[in-house]
Amino acid sequence: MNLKYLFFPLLAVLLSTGLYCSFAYNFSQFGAQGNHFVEVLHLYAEVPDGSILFVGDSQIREDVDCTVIEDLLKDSPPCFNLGVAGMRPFQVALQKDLIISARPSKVVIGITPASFDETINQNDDFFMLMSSSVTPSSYLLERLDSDELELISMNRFQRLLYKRKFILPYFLSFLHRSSSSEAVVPAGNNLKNPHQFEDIQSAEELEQKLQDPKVLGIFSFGDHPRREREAFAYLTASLKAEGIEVVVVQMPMNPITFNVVPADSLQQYNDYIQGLSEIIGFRLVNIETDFSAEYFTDLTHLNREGSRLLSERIARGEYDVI
Amino acid sequence: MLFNSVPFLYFAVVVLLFLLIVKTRKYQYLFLLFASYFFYYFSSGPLVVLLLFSSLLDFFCGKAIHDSKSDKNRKWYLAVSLIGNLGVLAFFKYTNFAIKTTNMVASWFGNDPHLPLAHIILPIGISFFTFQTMSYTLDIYFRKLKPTDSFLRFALYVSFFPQLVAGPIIRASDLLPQLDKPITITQENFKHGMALVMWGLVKKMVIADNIAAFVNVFFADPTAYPGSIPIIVGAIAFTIQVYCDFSGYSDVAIGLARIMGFHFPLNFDKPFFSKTIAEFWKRWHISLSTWFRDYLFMPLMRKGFTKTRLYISVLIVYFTSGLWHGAGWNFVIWGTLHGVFLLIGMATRDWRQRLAVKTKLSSFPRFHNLIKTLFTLYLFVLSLLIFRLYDPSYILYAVKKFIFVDFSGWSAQLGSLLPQFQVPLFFVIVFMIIHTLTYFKRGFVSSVAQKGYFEWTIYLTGMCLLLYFFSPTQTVQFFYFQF
Repeated sequence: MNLKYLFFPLLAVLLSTGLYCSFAYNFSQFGAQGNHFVEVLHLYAEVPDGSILFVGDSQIREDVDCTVIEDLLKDSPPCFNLGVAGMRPFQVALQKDLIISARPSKVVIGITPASFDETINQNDDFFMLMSSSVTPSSYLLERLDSDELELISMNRFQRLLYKRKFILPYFLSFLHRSSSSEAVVPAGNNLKNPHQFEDIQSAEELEQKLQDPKVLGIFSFGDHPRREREAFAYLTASLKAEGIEVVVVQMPMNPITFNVVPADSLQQYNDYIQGLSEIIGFRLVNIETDFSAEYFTDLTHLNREGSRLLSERIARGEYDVI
Repeated sequence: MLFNSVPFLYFAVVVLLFLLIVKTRKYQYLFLLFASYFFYYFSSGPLVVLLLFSSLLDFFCGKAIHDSKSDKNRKWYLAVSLIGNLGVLAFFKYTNFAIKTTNMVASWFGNDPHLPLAHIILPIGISFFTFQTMSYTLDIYFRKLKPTDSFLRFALYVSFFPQLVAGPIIRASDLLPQLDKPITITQENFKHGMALVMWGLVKKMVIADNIAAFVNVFFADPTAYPGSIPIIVGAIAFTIQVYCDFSGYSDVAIGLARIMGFHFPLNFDKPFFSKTIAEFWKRWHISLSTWFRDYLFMPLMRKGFTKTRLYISVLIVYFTSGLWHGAGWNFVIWGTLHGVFLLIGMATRDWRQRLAVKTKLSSFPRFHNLIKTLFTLYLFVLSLLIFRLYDPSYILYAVKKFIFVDFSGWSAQLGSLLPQFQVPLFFVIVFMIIHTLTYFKRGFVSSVAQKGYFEWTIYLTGMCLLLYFFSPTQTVQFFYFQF
């Protein structure tokens, strides 16, 4: 056989690579949370200086309505809700430089004990999605595992290859879109009020849920990986060092949770956050127990009414957040 | 080094370029031997010495058996070879199994010996290459083969990288004669081989690996699924995963060998269209089935045919086949169960034929065949639950749900599976369609290879696109590597 016949397989590889890359380059559907996170990443470059940024996971996303805050506080700086479901403190910490470059006047970080859990709050795709815009500090680099490191340090071609993970699910989602229960951020939301959860779970359902050790485990602060706490401390300290005011809000939790989660576990969480607040000097606002069960959709997320009420209280200064 | 990995791509390109440039037979084979040992070393490190040990043992035993004048000496040398090979296999693969079994049996009698497990790493593909070398000495012992004079050729036969870690188990009589001439990569072999390699990679990386995502979640705890529908879907998905994974590997192995001009026999021949379990094993992992037939079943039947001897031999063969697949009682039960299926099939053949006449089924041969095919498939899928699930309570639960089908809430169960596992389930359906189409239109890959370069390039491009678009982002190891 002549060497020249290798040309044809090579041509096939080049052709398929070219076709795939051109498709993947223009493909930007990463699922509901992925798309939402991409919007957040884009927003950092666009927010006006001095804005107030609410960051965190789904507690922030569901509970804070920036349109209510802006309506009530006419002269306040613009407010943005950048909460993303599944976003962990570690992943927020990786965005530290982006947050600083947006030059906000204040960053409000919403947390619950569940925020520090890596079993349920887990979306490794976020590492890939921010890989083009984030350079991890050496402190965070040391705490990344090998898979995460690979994801966060992807080059352009690797990102294009990774995108294939989303292509088929996107097209198949058309088959069952009508019956899909996956929450989607409303279009044109401008990251002010990305409230998504509408299905309300009954008290019986929630009590039953809490019988599951896996669900109960997400509130066991002492069992969560240390690196989430370290990243949280690193994030708050870094923002403070840049002169950005940091407010940490211990977000509302359904009263049912307090009946089941061991008190010492919650105490451990409270002690840690309190201690950190004193060391780093961020303002701590604890509103964990301020909402009755009727304002929740589940164990940790407020319903629309609860979200409106919380936002009003923030705007009216009942909570010392803004 | 996995076939579906980037390092293997570099490795294959280097081997191919070398064979294209260097035309001297001796250097080609020396290089192939070096490449094969490197290939094994890459995944197994120092355990590569086992390959050398096995090759040396059987090379010299084969010669000694051939040169021996007395039957007694021939038997002795054969025993040395078998003890050496099976000893290595037993030590690396079955030591911990024996310890676990001892602990278990002792606990039944109220003792608790707590024998600690040994820290033994299972060398990849040990079951395959020991069986391959054993076939060489056995063939010489049965006077079917003359030993080779060249250790280089023999060592290459044992370690030839395409089939080294997961088969097919090639007989010396098939490969050694092909190692006589220089390797010439012809257009025809190159086209056919490449077409088969790509076909195998798509089967493995697109179908098997996507389905694995669902199977792994489902088999982690089948008791989490209350009805029968998820169990049935999970079992079918696993069946397809194993088939595409293993036959995909075989296709790549056969294709790689073909590129270099070597012809390996078929290892899978549309097994899901078998009408009996006996036929199934003539179509599934053919190289292993024929190995057991020639080197275990036939010797067991040598003393003459009796029904009792036949039944016992069948059970021994399938028991051993189960044990070969894995060091666990679930594998043993799985293998023995197939033997039992086979015996029941043999024992009831006349009765089933009479029943088919009585019910007029025999008047509709196609429909009759369809029923037989579906029933065979049902038995195989059922048996795979035992193969895949290690926990006895999981096995009992899943088998019960599979046999006593509980349709309650089936639409809700299916509805909850669909959004979560849309991609794996999509590929289950895609496989069923492709498998059926290629059954009725045989020789699809060969026909592609016979087309001109334009059509062949389009085919390769299409296959590459399938890999680009639909292979999962994580590389998944071949399922049969564990055996």
